[in-house]
Amino acid sequence: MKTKNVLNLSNTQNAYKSLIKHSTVGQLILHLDGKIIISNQAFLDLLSLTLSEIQLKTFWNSDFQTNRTESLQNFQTLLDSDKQCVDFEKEYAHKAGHTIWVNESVHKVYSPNQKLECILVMAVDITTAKCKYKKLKESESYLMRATEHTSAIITILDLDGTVKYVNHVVEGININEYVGSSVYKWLPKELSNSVKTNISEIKEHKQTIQFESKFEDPTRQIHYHFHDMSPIFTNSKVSGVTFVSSDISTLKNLEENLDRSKSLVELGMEAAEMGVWEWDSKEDKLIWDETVHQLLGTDSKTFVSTFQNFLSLIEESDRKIIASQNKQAFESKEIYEGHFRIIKKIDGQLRWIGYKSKFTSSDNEERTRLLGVVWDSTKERERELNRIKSKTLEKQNIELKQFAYLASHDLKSPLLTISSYSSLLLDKHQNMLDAKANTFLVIINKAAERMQTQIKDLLDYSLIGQNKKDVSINCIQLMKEVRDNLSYSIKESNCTFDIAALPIIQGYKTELSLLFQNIISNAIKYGSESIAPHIIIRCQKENKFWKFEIQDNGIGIEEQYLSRIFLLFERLHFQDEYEGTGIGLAHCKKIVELHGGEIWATSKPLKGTSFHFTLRA
Amino acid sequence: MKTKLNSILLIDDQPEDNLFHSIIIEEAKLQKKVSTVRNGIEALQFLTAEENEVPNLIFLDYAMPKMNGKEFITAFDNLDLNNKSDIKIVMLSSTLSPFDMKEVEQLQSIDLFKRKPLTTEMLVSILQEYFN
Repeated sequence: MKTKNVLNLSNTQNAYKSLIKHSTVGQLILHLDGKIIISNQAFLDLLSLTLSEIQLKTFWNSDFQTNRTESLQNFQTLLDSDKQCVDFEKEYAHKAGHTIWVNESVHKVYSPNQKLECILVMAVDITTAKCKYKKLKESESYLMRATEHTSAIITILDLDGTVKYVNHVVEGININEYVGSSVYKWLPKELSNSVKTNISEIKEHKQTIQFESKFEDPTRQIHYHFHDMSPIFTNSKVSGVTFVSSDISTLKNLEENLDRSKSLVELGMEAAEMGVWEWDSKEDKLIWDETVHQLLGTDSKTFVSTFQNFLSLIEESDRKIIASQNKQAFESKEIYEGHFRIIKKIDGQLRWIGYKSKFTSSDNEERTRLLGVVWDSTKERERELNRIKSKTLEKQNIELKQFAYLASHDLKSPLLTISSYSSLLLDKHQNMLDAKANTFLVIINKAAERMQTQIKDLLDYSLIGQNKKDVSINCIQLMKEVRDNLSYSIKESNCTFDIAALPIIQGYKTELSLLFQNIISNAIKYGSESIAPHIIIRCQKENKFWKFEIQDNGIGIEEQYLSRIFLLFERLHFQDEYEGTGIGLAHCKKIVELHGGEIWATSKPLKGTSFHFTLRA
Repeated sequence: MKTKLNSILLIDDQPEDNLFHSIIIEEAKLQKKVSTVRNGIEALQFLTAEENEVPNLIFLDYAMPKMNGKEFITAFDNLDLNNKSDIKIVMLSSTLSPFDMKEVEQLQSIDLFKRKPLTTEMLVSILQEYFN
């Protein structure tokens, strides 16, 4: 049976008094004019005050009020309005000097007959809470600032996909529309599905999921994103998901470019037949790619790649240089390059290997890794050696030509003296000379003449090919000119010609003219005594050459001499039989060879001779 | 063993040289027959001709048409002649270039290499060296 709360007034008063007295909430009873009548211990403890310090003091004017004007205003407002109570959060000044935060509520108290009796003030210390709140607000603002500035989009999602928070939105989207809506409404289909699936996965397995996505925008540009979804726990249960997305398009592009570059480099290296190597000097580990093994003739499966082993492959005489260069490389920053010889174990071939190397570590780091390339430079070396050789040869050739020119030039002068004076004696002083003297003088003169011709021929021979003007020559025209040059001897000997169609060829005009002239003048010179010389000239195309044949009906040449006649100074007859210096056919040979061809002769003694030669077409 | 000089053969394609050398020999008043031929072929013909006395001093030129000095020696070595070892051969050349020397220095039958022209001094020293 419920007992009735029967309290008589005096009991209520006591109970009330007791309540106030023992309450942990600071309480004050104020007069309607604001004077503090009663204070409980809790209020005094709040501010470390004694009762005497506040009793009968005006509430809003008290020392503990930090803003008296505001306090009075609030008090007045309450009294004037119909409100029963008001509460504020305000600061009180503690006796020790600092301030505390309190939640102050001011209540109207009525007597039983509804008359306003007094005012009840309750004050709760909320300093700690306030601090915590302040701190929270502070970190919240830091967080806000941080998340705002990152380019990543940070979204907090509910398990059903509702957006609870987002740090910033993609351009064109209203953040107010976004927050609170379903994220699936905004994401591209594929990504949407992934997110949905991941949320349920996270809910179940409570673990972070990371994934990438690809998206093509209306301008056909491809964007790549990286997503990180992690669970948010409330009471050990997953209550939401943090969804962070970063645009990695640039990164992806770089990655693709890098891959492409890498492939290109590999392709290039393969095409150039270059091997890449790396040497870690600390661990003495040589890393070679397959090409290096190929170039150096080692087996990638069995060869132990240390620096010493590498050195042992090199030709002994080159080892020292390589070893010392290697040592130097540690001291300076230069690129090291050079060549060394190896004898490949596989086939015993001697090859030249070129290399170029550089350190990979930065300036501050200790030098430990050398990176380089090697390639087979045998052909390069050969070319270089040939180049040097041909340069030397060229130089020698020039000197020789100069010498020939100078020698013949200097010989002409004394020769002329001999000729002139012996002629003088012969012409003017014949009477004073006996028969023998005359004979001797004639011999002298003839010899001098011969020498002059010899020198001239020698000079001409040395100058063949000097005038390097390669032109287009009409051979028919050329023949006409040659016959003009030889018109005297042609007429004298009643020489006739039978000339077939001749081509137009590329060559040196003076020289070709001489070629034909020499052969034809020989044909006339060595003509038969009984019949007039008849010369037949034929020409036909053979592969890349024009093959000429100049046939005469002269005295012919014995077989044993057919090859000798092209030698310099070689003659088959005596000077008084057929004059000549023995240079003519050597000339012809040189000219033919200048045009990339060959010359040879066929003959039947007393029947005639044929000279055959080829010229570049 | 030295023998007595009987006659001299001059082998040279240049008539002027043969003439000159003949004059030099004449001036030395050796009173020996001097024959001249113009190349190796003629020389072989001369040496093998019955009516000719085989000379025991031969002056041989190097550069001659159809058969030069070297080729002559090769043929000479194959000749069957009386008292062949008594025949002294002197090669007279206008040039003794290293190239020419290489061609002939191996030839055993050549006793002496000299540069043209033949002089009296040269002749005298040869006679003293090889003949009585």
